[in-house]
Order: sequence, then structure tokens, then C-alpha cells
Amino acid sequence: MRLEVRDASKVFRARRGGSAVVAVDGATLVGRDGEFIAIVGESGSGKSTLARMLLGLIPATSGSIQLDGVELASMTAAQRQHYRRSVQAVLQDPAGSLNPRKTIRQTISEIVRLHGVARGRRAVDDTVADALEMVGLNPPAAFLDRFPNELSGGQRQRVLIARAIVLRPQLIVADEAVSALDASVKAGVLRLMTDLKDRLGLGYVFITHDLPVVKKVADYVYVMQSGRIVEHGPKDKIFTAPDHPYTQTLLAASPVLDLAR
Amino acid sequence: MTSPAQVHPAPLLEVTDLAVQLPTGRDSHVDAVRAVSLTVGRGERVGIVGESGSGKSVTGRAIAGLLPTNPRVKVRGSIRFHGEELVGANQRAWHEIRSRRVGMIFQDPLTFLNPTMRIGRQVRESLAAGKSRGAHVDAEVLRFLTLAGLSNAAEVAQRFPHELSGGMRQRVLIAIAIAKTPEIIIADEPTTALDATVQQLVLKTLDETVADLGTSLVLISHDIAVVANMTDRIYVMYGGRIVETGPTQEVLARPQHPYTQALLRSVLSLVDEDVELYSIPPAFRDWLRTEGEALATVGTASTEHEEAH
Amino acid sequence: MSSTPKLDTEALATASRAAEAPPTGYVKTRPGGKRRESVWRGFFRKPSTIIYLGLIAVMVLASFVGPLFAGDPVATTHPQFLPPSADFLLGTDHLGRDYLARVLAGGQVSLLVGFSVAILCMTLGLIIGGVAGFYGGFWDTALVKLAEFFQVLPGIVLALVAAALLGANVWIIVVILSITMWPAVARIVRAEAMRIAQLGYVESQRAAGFKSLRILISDVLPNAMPPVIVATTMTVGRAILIESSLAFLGIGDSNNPSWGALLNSAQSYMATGWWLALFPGLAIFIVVLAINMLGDSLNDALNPSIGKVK
Repeated sequence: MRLEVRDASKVFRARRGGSAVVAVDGATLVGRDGEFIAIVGESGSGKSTLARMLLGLIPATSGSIQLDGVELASMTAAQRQHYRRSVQAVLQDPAGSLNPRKTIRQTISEIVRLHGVARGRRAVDDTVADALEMVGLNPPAAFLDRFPNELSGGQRQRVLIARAIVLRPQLIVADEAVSALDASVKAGVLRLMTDLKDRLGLGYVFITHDLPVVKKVADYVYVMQSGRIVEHGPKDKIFTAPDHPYTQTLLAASPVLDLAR
Repeated sequence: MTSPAQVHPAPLLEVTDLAVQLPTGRDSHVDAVRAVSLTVGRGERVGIVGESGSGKSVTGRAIAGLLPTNPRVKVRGSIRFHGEELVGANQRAWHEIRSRRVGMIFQDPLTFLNPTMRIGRQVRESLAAGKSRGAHVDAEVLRFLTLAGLSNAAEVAQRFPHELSGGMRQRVLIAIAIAKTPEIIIADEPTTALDATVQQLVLKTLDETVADLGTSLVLISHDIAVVANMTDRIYVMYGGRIVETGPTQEVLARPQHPYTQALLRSVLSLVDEDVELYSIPPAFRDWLRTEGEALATVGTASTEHEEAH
Repeated sequence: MSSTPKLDTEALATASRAAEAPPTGYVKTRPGGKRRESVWRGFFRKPSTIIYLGLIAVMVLASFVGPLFAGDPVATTHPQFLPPSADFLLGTDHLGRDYLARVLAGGQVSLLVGFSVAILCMTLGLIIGGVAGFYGGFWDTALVKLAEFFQVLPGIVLALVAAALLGANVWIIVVILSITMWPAVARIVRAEAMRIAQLGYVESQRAAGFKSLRILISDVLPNAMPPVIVATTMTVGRAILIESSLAFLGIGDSNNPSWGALLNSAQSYMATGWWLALFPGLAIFIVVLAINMLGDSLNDALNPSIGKVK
């Protein structure tokens, strides 16, 4: 599976009194299943806008976004549904990404039903329980009837991931999925994500400003600044021999923790 | 390392067995802080690290006198500022503390800054005089804004909070905190919401300002890297208690308490490519909850020496 | 400062073993996180809730079941102007009618108007406010203008005209009142819909493939309910009061007088029959007060952040 973005741009029309905002300027990137790519940038770099373009939430002003050769903008309704099944989202929680009035069971099962992955109460429940188990929420029965406010931040993040993988997508677009988490919880969620990559052959497009995390888990890195991708390459190259001055600035700014072992 | 015989001046701030109970619903409450004891000396920089829910923020607010005024909030224990007991003290004593002795910097400047008031005025209100106006007061406002790292102080003073970037707002908070010429600054997650480059700038500003003015610093964060580079001593909190304390570099290099060890291992696993990602297992947390209470605070060797006074 | 005992090797060993345990999820409710049902349970257990709900229930029962046991409200066979007594609990009116029966029957009209208007306003408000706030753009502009138009309509004049043209029927009154009162509810719904549309879970639902209308109905409106419920409760009280005012002005079904209509008739007899004004007035007062207090209480219950910390 191949998600290819070629020279995509997004221009937001001018609001009263302001000028048009070029959020994304000619972005080109490739996401594949089984590959962990990261898009790094600071706030205002356009990375979140690009993420939403990949998810089909914001239409591109120009350029092309293709899934396995089919252009996103010209997909039929059926093709769009297939796209949504193949490319799922995990957005940043705190407390915003889950409907506070729906139980975990309701939240996940309605997605299962929408895409017809399983039919009938038993089959749907089994599918949901399966997804919860896979993200480490064991036993699933203990979580199904809970509301989001009863879970910890790390557990909610796992629920978001369960919701994303229940359709067995091929690519997950994660926007600041671990940024708000404590170190230990962050490590746990990241470990889960890499595990799922190995077990399910998932690909990730991981959007973040957290460089140390990227160094740990990513395979390929795109660096964004002010809407443009200024550099990209395999993780090792970017971190050891960056070409672009902005990349170098970013690397220099990461707090270094030197723990004598 | 300080020699054991060195005489220490009386600590600026001495907290003993602090406990804070917060309401969480109509009939329920939580012991956010259970038994915290810490000291901060003059000009000393102390860090408090812990995960969310460890009680570190509540501790910071208790010291600054910024706990909610809800009558269901219960504070026990002792907080002594220059030897003066503050727990149970009247509003006047706390007001003195808040307005002159202690400056606080929060994580989210937007909630702390008045959106309808210009920056200059907010800094002015923080000045020790507070009420007076005039050219010399304006000059003071600009001085503190500049000290806080805002090079275009005059322009910033005219703006409203929402017109500034996150990093600038944070530096405004620093300006407001130092404008009181406090003896101690308590910074609670001052850079968590900021990008790495801005974070670096703000921390550098805080570092320099504190050094220039000689104020003490209590830096609270879940990010160990932030605390590691800026503090002399560190307190590690878990479940409302302090589990370990000592000189920062010592504790980070040779952690004694199992929780500190697990936490550092987790942090290391996030940055070191050769270390497998490690998260603290729930079984361990359960163990901490039952056994951990029986364990008193662990201090490192050098702290033991220092305590012989 | 307390002494600093060293950890013994055994404790360290146990700790290390625990620290190595394989990570599994575990059920741990956050301190302070409570199940949502408990909000309602807490609300219904409050003494004030019970009192006010009780009052309203009594009035409703009395108005709709009471007439089966009371006398005939229309028969003019009794002596006129009898003050309240054992035979006639609320006395008789100027035409010799059993006043208890009249007040109870009057309750049917007033309460019917109150609750019907509230339900209609809530429905209209949810639909129009929801669409305006969630879809935005053209729909928002158009529907907001629509709401403004209806809000500035002079309700009383409209009622007078409608009464003159179509006759003073209870349902006509309900329609007129609903037409003028729905914009207030719609405004609240719109604000909530706009706020919720920004939230993460709405975006997630879109990304999952749900259509906008489905998201509006399944995710947005349910989360917009708290202020809407409160506003609807208040609408009941307001509608009853406005209807009473209209009746006071003479607009109303003379065959089915509401409490307000009874008050209107009682005007001329204040000296001779104090009870003729007192009882319907008291009835209005009790119902509106109870409903408003209930709404206030509901507001507190549905806004759990009051009194809580962090």
C-alpha cells in the first residue's frame, strides 16, 4: 500500500483584515505500510494541516494525494470509504478525542458497524474486544462499559489506537499522539505502536515536534518549516548528518539528558 | 561536593510533612499530597520531578499559597518561610507571601494572564509598589520585561496576551514573577507547552534571570531533562510523597529508590537507541502503592552528611 | 528532616522483580473520575430536588387526575361567593361554580401550555441551532437571521391577531408562544454546537468516515444537552407566565380557562372574593418557582466542575 503526496499545497482564504495563509507549500512525501515515517516541525510548520490533508479532512488546494494510484480528490463514495478504512487517525488526546458521553464499546463498535467489518451484536463485540486486547487493555470486558473520564491518559491513548486498528488499516496518521504523556506512559504507547507495526504490518505517518522520540522509532524523516518540507531522508542520516540549517537548529535545541550508566 | 562540616544558613523555605486533600466531587476527595518535606535555601535551585498525579504541582501551589479557596481543601503540616509558619496563617500573611516573596510561573500563560489587560499594566500591578504610576514605574516595567528576555519591551508592554506567541507569553510570566523581586520563584511546567527551540530560550532566560537576581528556584516538571540541567538538588515524587532526594547529578547517576530507577530507565529508553522501550509495569505501581508507603524517603549519601546540623 | 534509611537488599530485589513484570493493561479508575450515572443519582437524591419534583408532580396529578374526583367546573348550581370551607375546599366563584374544580381544570390548560411550548422550543431549537452551529457558513447566516426575525416579533400582538382571526384555542396559544420563544433555545444550541465542532472527537468521527448529519445527531447534540435542558426547564415557567399574562389580557379559551384566565376573572371581585385570585395565583407561583429551582439545580448537577478542583 502506498500513499503518495506530490507537490500538495493548502492555501486558506483570507479572513477579514488578513491575507491568505499558505499552510502547506508543495509537500511531497510517501507513506508505505510497514514503514514508520515521521514529519517533524514546530508549531506553525503546517504539519497538522498536512496530516489532515492525508486523512481527507481538508481538501488540497493544489497538487496530488494518491492512494495506490487513485487520486483522493476524484474518488467515488465507495472508494472514499475504502480510503477511510485504509488510512486511520490517532490524534492527540487530552480528553478531547473521545466522546465523553459514549462508552468505549459504543465508540469503537459504531466504527465497526459503519464499515461493515462485522455484523450482529456478538460479532461486533468480539471485534471490539479483540482490538482492546491487542492494545494491551486486558481484560477487555473491564473497559468496554467505561466512559473516557474513568480512564487514565495512557489508557485513553490506547483506546484511540484500538479504535484506529479495529478496521485493520494499512496506515495510521498520528498527530502528536504521545506528546502530552509522561515518560513511562509515552514509552508504553510507543512500544505498542512499534509492536503493532510488526504484528499487523501497519505503516505510520507520525507527526510531532518531539525529536528524541522520532530518533527512537522512525525509519524515515521529513522536516517541515513554514509549510515546506525542507529536508527528508532516512532517520540515521537526518540525525547524524543533516544538510538543512533548520534541521540542524532543531537538533541543537533538543534537551540532552546525559545519564551516567 | 560540599564538605560535611560546612555550616548552612537557615533555609529560606522549610516544608515539613505537608499533606493536601482536594475535593473531587460532592462526596469524594483525594490525598494529592501525603507527606512532603523539603527545604530550599537562599539562592538554591531545587527541582521536583514526578509523573502527572504525583502531587508535584499541588505542592508547588501549596507553597505559593495558590491552592483553591474551597473550604473542602485541607492542608496539614508545616510550611515555614524564614521560620514563619504559614499553614493556618491568616490571609494577610499569605497575601504578603504571594505579592512579594514568592513569584509563580505556570504552565499555561493564557489562563494566568488577563486577556483584557495590556502586558505593561499586568507587569506594573506585580511590582512591589503595585499602586503607583509614573515614569519611573514605567521604566521599571520595561526593565523587567527586558530582563525576562523580551528585547522589544516597549512594544510588548502595549500588547494584549493573545497577540503574543507562546514563548513570549511565557517570558511575560517570568517578568511578572520577577517584578515582585521575590525571594523564591516557583515554576510549574514552565515550558511544557512550547516547541523545543522556544523551550531552550525560555529556560535559558529563567536560568540567567535567577542567577542575576540571586533568587531561589523551585522547578517542577515531569521532564527530567529540563530539571537536570537547571537544578542543584532534586526531589522525586510519587503518589503524593517524596521517594528520593539528593544532589541532582547524584540522584540521576546513582538512583537509590526503585521508582527513581524505573523512571530513569523509562526516560533513558526513550532517548537511547540501544535500550528497549521501557514503561513502568502496573504490577510495580501496585507494589509501590502497598510497599512504597512503608519506605521512607531515600536520601543519597551526601545528603546524609548535610543533615548533621 | 526525617532520617534516611537505606533500602534493604530484599526490598530492592522484590522491587526489581515487580519492575520487570510484563506490562499488561489493568483496570484503575482515576481518582475522582466518576461514572456519569452518579451525576444523575446524586441529583435525584438531593432533598431540594425531591421537594421541587414532588411539588410539580402533585400539581400535575391534581390537574389531570383531580378533576375526575372533583365537582363539575361548569355547573352554576351552587351558592355564589362561598369562601373556602369543608364542602367547597376552594369556595365558589361569582357564578356559583365549584372553584376547586375550576382551579384543577385550569391547571390542565396552564401546564399543558407550559410543557408543550417547552418541548416544541427544544425541538425547534435543537434542529435549527444545531444545523446553524455545526454546518456554519450559509446555513448559519440564514438561520440566525430567521431566529432574529422570530425573536423580535411582538408575541402579544401576534397572539391578539391570531386570536382574532383563528379563535382563542389552547393550541393556537401554544403555537404562538413557541414561535416567539424558540430562538432563545436555538441560540444556546448554536453556541454549543460551534464549541463542540472544534473538539477532537468530532474530527475523529469525520476521519472515521461518518457523514456530517450523523455526527451532528450522534455526537454533537447529545453533548450540547446540559444547557439546553436547563433552558427548556426555564421555558416551562416562562411559557406559563406569558400565557397567564395573555389570559389576563383576555386572550384565551373562555370555555377552558387557564389559571391566568381565572386570575383575569377574579380581578373584579377582589373585595368580595379574595380566594378567587389567591388560589390560581398561588398555583402559578408554586409551579413556576418549583420549575425554576429545579432548572437551577439541574444546572449545578450537569456542570460538575463547580466545587471540584483540577
